Amino acid sequence: MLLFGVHQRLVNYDGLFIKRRPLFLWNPDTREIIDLPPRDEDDIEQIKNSDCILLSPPANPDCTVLFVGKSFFLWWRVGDKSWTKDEYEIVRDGIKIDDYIHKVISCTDGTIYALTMQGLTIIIDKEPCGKLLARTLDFERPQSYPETLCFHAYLVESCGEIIFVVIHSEGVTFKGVNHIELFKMDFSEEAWVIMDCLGDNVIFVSTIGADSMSVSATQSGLKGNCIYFTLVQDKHNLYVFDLEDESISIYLPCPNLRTPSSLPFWLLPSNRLVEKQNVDENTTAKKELKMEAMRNTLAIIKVNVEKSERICWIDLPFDLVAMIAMHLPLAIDYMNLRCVCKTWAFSVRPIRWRVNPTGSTIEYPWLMSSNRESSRCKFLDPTCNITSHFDMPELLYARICSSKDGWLLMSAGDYSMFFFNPFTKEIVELPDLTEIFSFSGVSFSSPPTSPDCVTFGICFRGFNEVNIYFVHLEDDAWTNILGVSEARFTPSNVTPVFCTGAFYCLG
Amino acid sequence: MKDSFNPSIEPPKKTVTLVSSDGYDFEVEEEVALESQVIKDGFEDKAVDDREYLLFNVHSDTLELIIKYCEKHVSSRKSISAAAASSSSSNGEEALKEWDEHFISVDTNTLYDILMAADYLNIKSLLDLAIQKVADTIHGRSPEQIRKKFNIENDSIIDPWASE
Repeated sequence: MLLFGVHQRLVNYDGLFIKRRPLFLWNPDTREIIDLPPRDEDDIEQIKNSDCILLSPPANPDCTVLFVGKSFFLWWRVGDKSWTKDEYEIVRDGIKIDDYIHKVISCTDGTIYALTMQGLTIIIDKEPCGKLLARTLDFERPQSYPETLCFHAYLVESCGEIIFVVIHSEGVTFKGVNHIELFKMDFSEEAWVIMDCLGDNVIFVSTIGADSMSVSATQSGLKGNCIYFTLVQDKHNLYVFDLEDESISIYLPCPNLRTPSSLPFWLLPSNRLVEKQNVDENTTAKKELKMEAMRNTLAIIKVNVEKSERICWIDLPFDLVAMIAMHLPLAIDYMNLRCVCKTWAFSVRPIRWRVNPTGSTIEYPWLMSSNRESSRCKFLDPTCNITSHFDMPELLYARICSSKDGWLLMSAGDYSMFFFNPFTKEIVELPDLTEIFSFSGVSFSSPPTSPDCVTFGICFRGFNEVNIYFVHLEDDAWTNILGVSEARFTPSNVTPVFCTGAFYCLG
Repeated sequence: MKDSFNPSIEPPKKTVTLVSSDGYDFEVEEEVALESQVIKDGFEDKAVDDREYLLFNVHSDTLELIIKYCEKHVSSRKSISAAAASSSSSNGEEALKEWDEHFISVDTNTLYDILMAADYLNIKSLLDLAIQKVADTIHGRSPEQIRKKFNIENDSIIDPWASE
């Protein structure tokens, strides 16, 4: 069971309203909520933007939520009525220095490591009375090269190693990525040594709090030796850094996601991989039991059993629900299934945020992009991030005006317009325009394979006047209605929409 | 003189008896029964005259359907391999797929019985078919619609998708 806190970071990014909301721990798996006591207003102010970690799951009596401020630790242990504040100092060679803890990580063995702003390595000790102390380790600081002014740093535990990931930004803004560095905590050398390979591991870093993590590539089905990260300025994109060729690619798992109000972060239902293995063992055990039952059936005297009238889908065995979930084509179906009832929610692991690329059977739109100067166009399947390239000479110097039912309405040059179906490569020509193409919006009622297809265009002519153009498929020329002023309407550049016999334009 | 062997005379079909939970006997051909991995696994250990299986989790209504499915699959497999051997073109697999689709187009109660029986008897192809059918039914439906379709009571205390 893994519970994560609503981190202070999240609270800050979310703005004023949520800032005053009490803190709580929430387990999305079991929907269990544990309320945390309120904190002092001054403390909240001072620990803003600082790391917050959960030291162990709440089931553990030692479970502690820890905020690391610039001069103190603020912690709460399960069962406590209030938060405890422990001041700390950064001491180097016996002298207190002006520095503070920047990044903190709690390892599986319970040790808490931290890095200060100046790159000193700290270990946070817990005294028997519960008091927390910062102890400086004699470690060489991680040497970044070339050093940049703007960077994001993360601490991750990966297979027992403590890894420091630094994502250097371009120039003096936090935009873009210049280069990425990895350092490993080397206890024998007492230094942070540069790492150029993660092997089978995949690291996920997120800007919020300390929820960066590492998983095995072979067990997760991901490509190894990679780092997945997001950028503060860019809430939509997920980036992947491949250590092998040092390439960075943008990965769009859900390109149509609404801009989130807070930064996305990673959540790993703990023990997931372990549980998966257990399930396999359970299944084998179950099958054996079943076999045993089958062998024993002969000993049972034949009894007339009434057929149970009540069919209980809610009682469907866990493994069957899980199998059904694996056959669902879309992530949203998977999430809906988990919402049906508690038993189903428990049977099915929380979503893995990956959609089986071959599982999709329904039709959905593809994101198409083309460049007027080239005949190449790209299609992106939004559910599985598969981009296909097509070479289509028809698209050269043409622009896409509108699309419907797999057909594109294209304009080429100043006067020519035609329909083009990129999948069948069919072309349906339209009469040439009598005036230079200047539509603010153009659209068509039905695909050009249907006889009643009407193409409609609107353009702004002058103060409160519009020109309207339309053409039927069998027409030899466009019909122009110039200077329509009754509506006192200035069209916007939004594609008109055809609905029940009329085109609607937005002004 | 050597005994002449006449291949046209088939040996008598071996049968096994499947007994439904409500006490009905179904006599089926051995190879039909062996579609069930569970029956197959323990089959050789059983004495020939002792081949009777009491399926205390499968009602006669469902067992009838299951036997129908297994018989169809055994006969289709034979005709498909025969067609392949004579290298004549056959759309046997597609026809079987169509048959399957028709077979599994049942109400959710029957689907539940088939699913449970296929799991219990470990008939993989039928289990896959039933699972796929359930998945198809769930696909595109909201949790509320799924509950209605499968007659499930809403026991969720918190709806994770509800807005605050």
